[in-house]
Amino acid sequence: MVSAVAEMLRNLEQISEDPSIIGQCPELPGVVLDKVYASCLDRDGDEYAKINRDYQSLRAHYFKSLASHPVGRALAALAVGSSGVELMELGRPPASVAEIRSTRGKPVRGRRESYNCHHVVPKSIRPNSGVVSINHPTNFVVAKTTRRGLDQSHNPHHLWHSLFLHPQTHNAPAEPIPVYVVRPLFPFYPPITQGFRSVDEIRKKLSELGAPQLPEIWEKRILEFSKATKHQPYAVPKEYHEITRMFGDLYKAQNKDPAVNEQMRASLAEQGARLATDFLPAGAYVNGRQLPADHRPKKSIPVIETQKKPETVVQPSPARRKSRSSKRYIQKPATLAPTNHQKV
Amino acid sequence: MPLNTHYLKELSDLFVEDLKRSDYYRKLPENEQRNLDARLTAEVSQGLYPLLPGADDAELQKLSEAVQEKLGVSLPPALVDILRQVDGFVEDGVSLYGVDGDLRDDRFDSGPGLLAENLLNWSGFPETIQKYLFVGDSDLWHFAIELATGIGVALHKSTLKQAHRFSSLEELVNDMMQQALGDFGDDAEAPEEEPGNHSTGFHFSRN
Repeated sequence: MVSAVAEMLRNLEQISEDPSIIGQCPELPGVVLDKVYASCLDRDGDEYAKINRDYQSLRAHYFKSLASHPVGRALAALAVGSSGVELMELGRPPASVAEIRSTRGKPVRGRRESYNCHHVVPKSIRPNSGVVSINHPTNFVVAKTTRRGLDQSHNPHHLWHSLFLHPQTHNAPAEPIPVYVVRPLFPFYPPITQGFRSVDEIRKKLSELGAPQLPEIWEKRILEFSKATKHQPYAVPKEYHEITRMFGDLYKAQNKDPAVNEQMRASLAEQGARLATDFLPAGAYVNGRQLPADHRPKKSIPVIETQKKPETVVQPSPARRKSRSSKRYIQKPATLAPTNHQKV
Repeated sequence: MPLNTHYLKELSDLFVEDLKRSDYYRKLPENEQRNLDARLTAEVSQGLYPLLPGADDAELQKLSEAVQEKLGVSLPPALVDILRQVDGFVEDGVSLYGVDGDLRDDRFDSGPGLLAENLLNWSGFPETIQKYLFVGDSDLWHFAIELATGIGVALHKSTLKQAHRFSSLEELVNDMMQQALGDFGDDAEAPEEEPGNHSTGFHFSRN
């Protein structure tokens, strides 16, 4: 698994050596669209069940391996902090307690910042090229999924689904079509929780966290990402979650009239398609219709087409946790490369 | 039918353990740490599951009214019973939606809210409007109640097609907890069957 993590990091590096790719699309910094030929039919039961089982058993190993790889560990430290790295060492997705509310007469409640491991190419579409291995680290990203009511500004994964994936797969033809999936250029998204204006600041932070230092290519990417977000924590731009508020108002005003429901569905689908069309290139499918050859997207998001099949193989193993105690579960770092900083 | 108490306890234990090793807890002044520990211990002695509380009647009433007003649907009684036992959780990528923070007296937002998540999903996936009431999600699935039948279902995350129909809502939530706890298949340490802990039918998460 550690070799597969190394391959994933290498692949990300090879997408572009030019760090300016990170800020090319200011609305979606640090991501590219990866063109995959795929069928949007659901997999059959047996096939899907196997992929599902394998994923569940691989995921914990992925977190542990990512935290034990020197570059993965440093990127994890910047993205999810020391408590997040600790959880990854236990085979769990990173999370952190943000607040505890202990009101008299009410049970104690907690609020956590949460992340999850997601598939870049989703499991429910069937890539035709054979270069995508669904349950391989090269197809994983750990993305923030914190939700606060209607505020989805800290849930980029929802944006990727609702802005890109759903409009392309909804009403899609049965035959293989090009599907443009969001591929983050970092194994974590967002990759940082604070701004960095210089390499020295990154190095100092990693030192404070007791994490290994990063290769130059990753330092440059982090700096570009920070620049793209104006050195502030990343938030999904407001315009991409405004649609929800409009929905609430519409429904409130009209109540249960079926005709209004139908109108609302059409209107929302149209809006979703319009937003997707701003980013997607000619030839992409949106709500079952192919964008014409002369279509020019308004937003300039880099597009790639992954051609290389993974070189490493990952083997699923039993996933059941025997214990969740940290005493029994903290793993020794991998032996892939020496790491002198194990404090994170 | 009550939810699986083993899963509830395991999740609660996990959350308490996470709290104890968090930076948040470590940075609390000593007296606040002591008070918090005492509160959590008291909840155990009251038979509650610390950091995994159920919603109270007032909160459920507000949620029910808000869902009726903003989504135009009634909150299924089976879901109200579930939320009374466990008012949502987020663990290992699995989220069960709870009462929205906006609807609580103290407006504390402890996780994804049922109303907000449905507004969001109905906006993003208009074909689901008034067809499904979403109750949770994971990387792979949306978990929902099919409103026409009241049956709990798992939907493929990308295509929104049904992947499984559960025999009851409790079975759905038990399955979500099982997934959140990372239990998939090996029965060697499976909890003993006790009344309320028997999951009838198909273990979706093991499939």
